[in-house]
Amino acid sequence: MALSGVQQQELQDQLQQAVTSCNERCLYFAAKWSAELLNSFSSSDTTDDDGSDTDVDDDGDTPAASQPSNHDRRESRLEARETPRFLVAKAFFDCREYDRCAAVFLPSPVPHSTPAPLSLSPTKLSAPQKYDQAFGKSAKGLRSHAARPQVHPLPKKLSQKSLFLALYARYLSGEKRKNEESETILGPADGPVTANKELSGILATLEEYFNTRGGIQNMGNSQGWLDYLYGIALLKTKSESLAKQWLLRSVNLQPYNWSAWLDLASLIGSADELQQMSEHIPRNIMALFFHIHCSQELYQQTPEVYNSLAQLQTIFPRSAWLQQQNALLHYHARDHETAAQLFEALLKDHPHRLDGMEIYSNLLYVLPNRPKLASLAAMASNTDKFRPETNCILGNYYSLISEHEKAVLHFRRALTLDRNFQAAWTLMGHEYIELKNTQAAIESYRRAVDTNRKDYRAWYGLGQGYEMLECYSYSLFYYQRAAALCQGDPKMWAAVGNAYSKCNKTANAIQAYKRALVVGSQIDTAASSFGSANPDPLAHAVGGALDPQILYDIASLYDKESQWDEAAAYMELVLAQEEGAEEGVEGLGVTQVTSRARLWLARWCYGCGDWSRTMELANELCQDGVEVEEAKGLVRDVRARMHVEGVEE
Amino acid sequence: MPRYLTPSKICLLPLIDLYLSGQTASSARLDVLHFIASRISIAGGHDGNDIDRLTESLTGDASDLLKPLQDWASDIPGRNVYDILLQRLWKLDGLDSLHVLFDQLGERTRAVPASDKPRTGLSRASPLGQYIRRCCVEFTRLQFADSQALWSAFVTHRAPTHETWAHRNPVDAAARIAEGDLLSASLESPAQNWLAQGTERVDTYLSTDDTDTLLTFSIHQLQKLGTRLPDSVRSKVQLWMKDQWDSGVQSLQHFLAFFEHWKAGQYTMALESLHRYFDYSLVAKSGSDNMRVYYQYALLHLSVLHADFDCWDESVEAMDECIATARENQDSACLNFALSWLLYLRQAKPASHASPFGTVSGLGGAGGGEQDEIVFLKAKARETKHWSLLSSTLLDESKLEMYRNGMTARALEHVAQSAYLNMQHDLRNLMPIADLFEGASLDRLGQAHLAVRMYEDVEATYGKQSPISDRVRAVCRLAYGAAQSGQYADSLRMLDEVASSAMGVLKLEQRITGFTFLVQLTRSLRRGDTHAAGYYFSQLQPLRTFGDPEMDFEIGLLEIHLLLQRQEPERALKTVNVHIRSLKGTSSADIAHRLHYLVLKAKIFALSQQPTKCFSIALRAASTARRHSLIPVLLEALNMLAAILNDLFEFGAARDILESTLPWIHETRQMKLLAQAFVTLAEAHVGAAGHACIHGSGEQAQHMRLAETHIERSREVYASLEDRSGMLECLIMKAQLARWRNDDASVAQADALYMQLLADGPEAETGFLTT
Repeated sequence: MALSGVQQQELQDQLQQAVTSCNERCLYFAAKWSAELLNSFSSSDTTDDDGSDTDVDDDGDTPAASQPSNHDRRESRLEARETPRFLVAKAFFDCREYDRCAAVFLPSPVPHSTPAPLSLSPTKLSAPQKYDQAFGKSAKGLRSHAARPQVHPLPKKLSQKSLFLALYARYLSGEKRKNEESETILGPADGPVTANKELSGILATLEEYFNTRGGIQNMGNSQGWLDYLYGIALLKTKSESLAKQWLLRSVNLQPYNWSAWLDLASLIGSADELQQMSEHIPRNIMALFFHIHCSQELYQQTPEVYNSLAQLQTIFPRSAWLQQQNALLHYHARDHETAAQLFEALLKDHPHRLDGMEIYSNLLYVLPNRPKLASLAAMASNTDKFRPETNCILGNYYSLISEHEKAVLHFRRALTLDRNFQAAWTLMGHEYIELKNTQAAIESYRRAVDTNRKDYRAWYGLGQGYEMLECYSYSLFYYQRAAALCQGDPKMWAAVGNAYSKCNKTANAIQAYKRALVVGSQIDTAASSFGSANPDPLAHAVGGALDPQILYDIASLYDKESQWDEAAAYMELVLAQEEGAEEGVEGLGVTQVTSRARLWLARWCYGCGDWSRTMELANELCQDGVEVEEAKGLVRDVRARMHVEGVEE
Repeated sequence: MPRYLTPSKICLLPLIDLYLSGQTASSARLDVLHFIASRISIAGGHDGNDIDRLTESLTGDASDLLKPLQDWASDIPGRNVYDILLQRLWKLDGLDSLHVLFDQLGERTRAVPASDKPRTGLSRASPLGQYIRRCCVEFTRLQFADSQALWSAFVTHRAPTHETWAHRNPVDAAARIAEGDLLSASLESPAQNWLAQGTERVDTYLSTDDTDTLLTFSIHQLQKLGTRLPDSVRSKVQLWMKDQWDSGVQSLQHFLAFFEHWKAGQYTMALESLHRYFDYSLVAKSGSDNMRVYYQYALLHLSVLHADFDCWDESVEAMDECIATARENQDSACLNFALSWLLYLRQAKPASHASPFGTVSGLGGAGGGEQDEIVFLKAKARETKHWSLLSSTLLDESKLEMYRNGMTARALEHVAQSAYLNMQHDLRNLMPIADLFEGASLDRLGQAHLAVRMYEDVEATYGKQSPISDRVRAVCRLAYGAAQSGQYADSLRMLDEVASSAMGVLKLEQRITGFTFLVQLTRSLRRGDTHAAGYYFSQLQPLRTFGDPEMDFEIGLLEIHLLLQRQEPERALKTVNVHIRSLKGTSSADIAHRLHYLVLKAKIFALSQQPTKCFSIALRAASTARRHSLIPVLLEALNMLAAILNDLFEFGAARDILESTLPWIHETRQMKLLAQAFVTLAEAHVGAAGHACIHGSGEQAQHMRLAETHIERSREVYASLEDRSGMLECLIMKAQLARWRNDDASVAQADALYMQLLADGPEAETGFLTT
């Protein structure tokens, strides 16, 4: 999907425009993303046109070209008139004086941080109205629904840009206050108890604003930024379907706002939803990015995803983000080697880029590669000690060298820096599991799940936590969620099976285990079916192709159900894993599990009276040196019986 | 600044491991262990480690510190321990390897061995085990960034050894370079490149623990020796101190400053620093409610400071409050120490009696009297096994014994007891002072050669370990003694040398200057150069106010000599009388001083031709001196007595006296006295020849010959002393004796010598003055 020169030029201009507008609206993250993208065209192409600088000014209004021109003119007139005020507001915002910034455009006599005593007074319900009347029409929307009708009218002549900045500042000031009031991580005030108090005000203002402009259907007179703000405000109040609509509207109007895409992505819970959504999203290059991001988040490693990723990488060969997505895809596909290489290369190219490096540290943890993780940690710590990513990396390192207290400390630090940093919540849960602090672990996982509902490890961790507390039906529920999210992981299904068996639902447990078997062996069967067209369906189910532990679990379940034949068949399958399917192919060899299976089989054969098989199995056991006493007992017994039978004959 | 771990400490860990795993040759095992031990407790040993060596061992890099290991063989032929250790050190190739190292070491010292492997012979409680455990704990405590800093410091520390290691292990080195390039290219930032770094960073990585050790050591040294810090060390300490405002050593720094200012003679600054130190210490120790426990020590220091600057009243007040606080807090050690200080204070400045605790024994419940106080203190010290207190009290007692009710022999006995205690309980900082005391009492017994040995002993045996004030005191006495026997150049050289080691301690420098002037004054008096003598005397005047009785006395003696030489006997007599009266009034004055003045008074009377008055005084002085076994004074008085007997025509008695005292005079090495004795003896012989013999008899000739011999001897002694007046007197007498013999040649010779000496005088004077 190579772009022609004109197309590329157009794309560059649009991106440049997007960076400027995002910066003007203080959407720093989106601006950073777009700017990175802008600089990741192949290097030879970026400098092809010297005149591009002047071109930018000429078609600066390109993204707004779709909008009615009269409206656009009106906006720009307003903006021009507000410039001094806008500049001061922006300066305040840049200095993190959010309240002051908001007050530039939305003056209100009441300070935004409502004094606590007022809201605690017993006349809480009636007080606001009186209060509002006393101050005329200046009541603020945050005064709960009762006050909503009296939202003070917005200043008539206010450009969308200024309104966005003011409301966004108010939103951020609320977030800041919320963070301050939340106090310690996992403390009593942390979590949903403390909410962003500005939200209702913003919602009310925006609702009124949009209502006067024809509601959600009328897309003509909006630039898409306010829609985004409305979307995230709705998202925070858990009105997810409404939020989705507004965010969709926003990305349609303003496709280069990456933050809007990200928030939209966080609303998509499954691949099916993504499919449905794709009809509504605009057909442009951003949609491709969005698609890749969502697929990665949803653990979809289909060839199409790789394909579109490769296409984008031809356009943006130097994009760190795309490479990171590539690495993440490989990581989720458990192709750890490739993922590690990709990350390594990424780190080499962008030595000061910490975004996503916590996932690299996860990967190094899983591998495990201590020296590399240590140097990654050193590098991150050198770059910035107070980034949540850095602290996650450090936490992972300490976890790997079994210093779980320190690991928890670093994860907590990461969370103090950013309470919505989902990876840290999950990892902290893991650490609390290690420290046997189940309650804290469950809470951490819960917070992780609240932040990102697509994290199967957090769901799995929740299941684990409840399993440790011996609340099996709860743990079953969570395991099911995890398995639903990550259907390709046999570990999830095995956990589900285990939970079912704990709940005495043996049939379901067996099914789950069988699913785990299927999932686990998927790749192997595919590979071997190419080579030898063996008619026997179980022919390639040997030599470690199936997980002996799961097989043994299934067998034990059948054993419990008294379906001896099934059990025996699965036990035989366990034994079959010891050796390869064909000559020269290595199997798993004798392990604890196969030995136990052998013992079971020996006893079962003994019960069936199959003396020679019993003898054979027991002797094998003796040879392997496992359960020798038991095996010897069996041998003696069988010998005696054979002898007796021989005598009788 | 890190708390404990430093690269040099980390370097020791592989060495310990190496030692434990027996990779050293068996012959070197003990050496290696000794090396490790000396590094583990860096300030522990006594073997003359001064502060420079300590700082060096804290700041040196690996190649310097580990050099000694090159001398010891390992179990691999051809490789020494150093090589093996380097191999281990360079095996560490990243932050993670540091973690691995500590994990392994932690395994060695685990309480319950993880596996059933045999233990490696390292007990948890052994010094090595403790060291490893401490290191492991400290490493666990480190924040990530700190461990990172530690690692990079370690890399810097190790860098100088690269050449040696690469030379021995070329394969590994090459591999490391390749790998290093890879690492630095991919992950490590360029600043962490292990090769480049060695040259870039020079600042040292010191732990709080090290700085604390250094500071404590410095303060200990300051307290013990009374010196000041060398400039280089002081600047280093201040540099390190800047890095660690957060740790507890901040207050120690002020303590250091206190000593500095004190020794530099900056009274107000010292006071300020002391107050600051206690303010900050209270802050540092906040949380504990017994902060008042330290108050008495604050007062103790305050009192000592005041006393050192001659603020006696303030000092005694502070000490009184200190005693009260110490009693309240039941701190007997502090109390006893304070009491002994109070005793000293009152001896030093007897006027300051008006304190609520007028007598120490008033506290003990017994009656008054300093003897009782000493007994009380001794009993207390014995009770509490406070040996240094006992020893110093014994010294005090001997001093009292010497000064007051004077058996010098008993004083010597006390000194011997004290010295024994010092030996027994290793009270090193009391030994030099005991030597000084012993020297002083031997001096009083007339055993000058032994006394000189004692003074020399201070420098020779204890050297830099002895308190600087004791050393200076010993050298001053030696120098003054040398001056007495005419070795002025030696004496001045000695004083010059010791001046450089006083290192800016104001009091000591003043003392040394004072003694230099004393020597000069003595010399110019002997040379009869009253002009120069007057100059030196005027220089000495300000030093009389410093309350050093020893110097004060010497100045007084020389003043009288000066006055006599200026032919002002009336003023001399007045001065002597003033001195005698003032010494009589105070209870703690040295009786020897008073007797000396008495003898001088007798001399003045003798010079003014009042032999009868003089006789009784001299006799009184002699009998008292004998009673107190004050041999030098006794000899002086006897010499005086003999001269008076000569005047009274009792030549036989004079001769008897002198003949019996001469050997003693020789022993005391009082050359001037010796010369005078010879002259007096000669006079006695001449008198005997003139009055007791028949004119022209052989006996008379015999006497005259003897007189001539004695005169000649006396002249020789005077010549060695450069005493012009004495030599002139001798030459005149010699000429007269020759004339009596009608030996014209001898007369002419003596006259010629006389004239020459007279002629030489002024030249020598001017020559001397220009120098």
